[in-house]
Amino acid sequence: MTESNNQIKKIFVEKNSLTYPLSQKVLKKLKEVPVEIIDCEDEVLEKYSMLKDPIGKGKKTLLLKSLKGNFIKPCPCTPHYIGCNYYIINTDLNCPMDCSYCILQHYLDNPLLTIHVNTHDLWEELDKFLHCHRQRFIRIGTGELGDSLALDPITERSKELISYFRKKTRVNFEFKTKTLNIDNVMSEEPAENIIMAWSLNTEYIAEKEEKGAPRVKDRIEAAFQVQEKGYRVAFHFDPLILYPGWEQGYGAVIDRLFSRINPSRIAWMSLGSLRFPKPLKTLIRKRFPESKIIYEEMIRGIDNKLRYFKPLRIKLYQEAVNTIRSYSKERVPLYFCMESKEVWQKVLDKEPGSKEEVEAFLSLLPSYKAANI
Amino acid sequence: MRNMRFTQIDIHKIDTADKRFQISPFYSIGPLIPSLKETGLLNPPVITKRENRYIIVSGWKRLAACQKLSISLIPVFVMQEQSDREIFKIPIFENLSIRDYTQIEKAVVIRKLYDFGESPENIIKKYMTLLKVPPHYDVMDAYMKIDKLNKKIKEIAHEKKWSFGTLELITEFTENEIQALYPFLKELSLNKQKQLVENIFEISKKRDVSVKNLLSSREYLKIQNQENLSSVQKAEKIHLLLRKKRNPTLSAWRESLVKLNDSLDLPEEMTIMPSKFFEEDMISIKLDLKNRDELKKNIDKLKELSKKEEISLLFDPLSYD
Repeated sequence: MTESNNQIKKIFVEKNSLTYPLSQKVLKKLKEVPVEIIDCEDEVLEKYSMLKDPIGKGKKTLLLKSLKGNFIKPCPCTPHYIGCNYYIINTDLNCPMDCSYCILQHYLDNPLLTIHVNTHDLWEELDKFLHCHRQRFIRIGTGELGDSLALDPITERSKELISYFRKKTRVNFEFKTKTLNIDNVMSEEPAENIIMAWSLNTEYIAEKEEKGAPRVKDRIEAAFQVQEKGYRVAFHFDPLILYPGWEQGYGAVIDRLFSRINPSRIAWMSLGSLRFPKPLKTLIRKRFPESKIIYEEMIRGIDNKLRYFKPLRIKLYQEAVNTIRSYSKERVPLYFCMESKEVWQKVLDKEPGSKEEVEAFLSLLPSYKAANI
Repeated sequence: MRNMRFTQIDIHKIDTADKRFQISPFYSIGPLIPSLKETGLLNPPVITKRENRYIIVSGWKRLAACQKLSISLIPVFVMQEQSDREIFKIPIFENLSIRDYTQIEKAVVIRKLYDFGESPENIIKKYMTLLKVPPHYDVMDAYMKIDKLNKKIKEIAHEKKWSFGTLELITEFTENEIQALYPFLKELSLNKQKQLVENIFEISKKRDVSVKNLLSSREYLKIQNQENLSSVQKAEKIHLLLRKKRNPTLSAWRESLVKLNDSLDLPEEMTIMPSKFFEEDMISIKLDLKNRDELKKNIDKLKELSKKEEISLLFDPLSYD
């Protein structure tokens, strides 16, 4: 079990979800942790909302429940900027790590580590969804409203997801993580359409702003191991953060990345600069009083989120892209998360007209590309 | 009326020094005077007894206006003695039914409820919802801190109706820092007060310099020591300097654009504007026209403008660098 799972001090289980196999598996793995059976999550959520630092306390509490709505949703992206047509699967919510910039602090009403245990509904929904979209390629992943592998040692969900998606050849499935929890993934046979992605930052930012997350060099090492096993990998430099020494910091992590990872096995890399809705700024100030990331020069973007003033973003991206390109030339597909056409044009010399164009550029498998382009 | 009796009382028998139930420490009795003169006191204040003294539960303004007009015998409702916590509900609900509270008043209500022994859970669930504030512990905690701010800053905040966010931020300043900021804050408009508080806080955090040291640095002292400037002008200059320091790149771009505009020698009717914060590579040209001739003249002017070398800089703001 990982350190992050050791921090769970209490488990709440919705009464009607208690008998599901995933609930039983988790309860068995965490048999030392006190369990309370509840009628519905609202009674717990109300209690937590009245606690001091509910977000911090929620990271020590696990909620096992059935998801009533849909597991699969289009990635919400942000208005007025270019998206990538990605789909997200909300298997788990929240994350035991405590990154100062994490949007989930603001985005989710529920601060508890939540596992949606009605897995049978997930497979059924996935079958229907993929059938409806059988004419196109799909990029889909679990790492949007929670870290894909943070709770994997207790859920072992990665094994089932790999086994499900390996047969879906028109789908690129992505695990997105900061953790080193790759044991379950390593025990499975890799498939070309299963992509193991890591969120990367500089060691400085990881140490200062990503509480509970592994060192960046260790994340790269984990990526190296899964690549050696045969998986394709991906990397997300998001959020890129300005601080004194950022040029050297990002240069060093990209150098390290390419010293270990074969560029031809990188499915994609994304770049996104720090951005957040204004209320998150207050949350960061209060929850992370030592953090200085909110004091850089930011403006209110057309989506109303705070983001770096455009010339600063462009400088940040150009530096990162130049270093990446020095290693990978054009081989690694690069894209921006939530950026404007102008930024795409100025930094990548591409101007995608729509999210569908970005998707087309990213989603084709190497074999498919070779045969069709 | 339950637990209340109506009577007339000599105003001097009321102990106005006991302010335990007072919610708004800042009020004006001006508008009440003509009404009292014309119609008398229509809505009697509520009082109660504590240790053989009468103290005010609600109706501070009405009482002060009566005192001003030397009215000595006034109608009142006397509440039966109950706990402070029970009685405090009267002014809370009475005010809630007629107006919204300012943030300063909300802070008073929350802190007094707490002091009167109301449970934090009840304050959060019942009262904070009534006060239209998010029912969270952290918010309650912030209001308790806001209530502890010094009276002068609370008065500005009350008058200008500061937002919760600005007040919450100012609770992060030390008393000395607030004292140092006060002379500037009191001279500015609401929006500039907010910006000044945010900018100085963020600059001091980013640079790890105390607000006091920041305001003692050469550039700021120079403004403060300029004898030919009024206190309003000094406050405005400090505000502008802080804005520039907080956003140096954006300020430099804005200055470049002003210079560029000047160099283009535009007619008065024509204004060139970038997108908000230069976020989009697009400019707008605004024309104020009175008639067709002016339109024609300006179209010619635009044609001339399009031939100028500098105009391309407007479409490629990065090259300002």
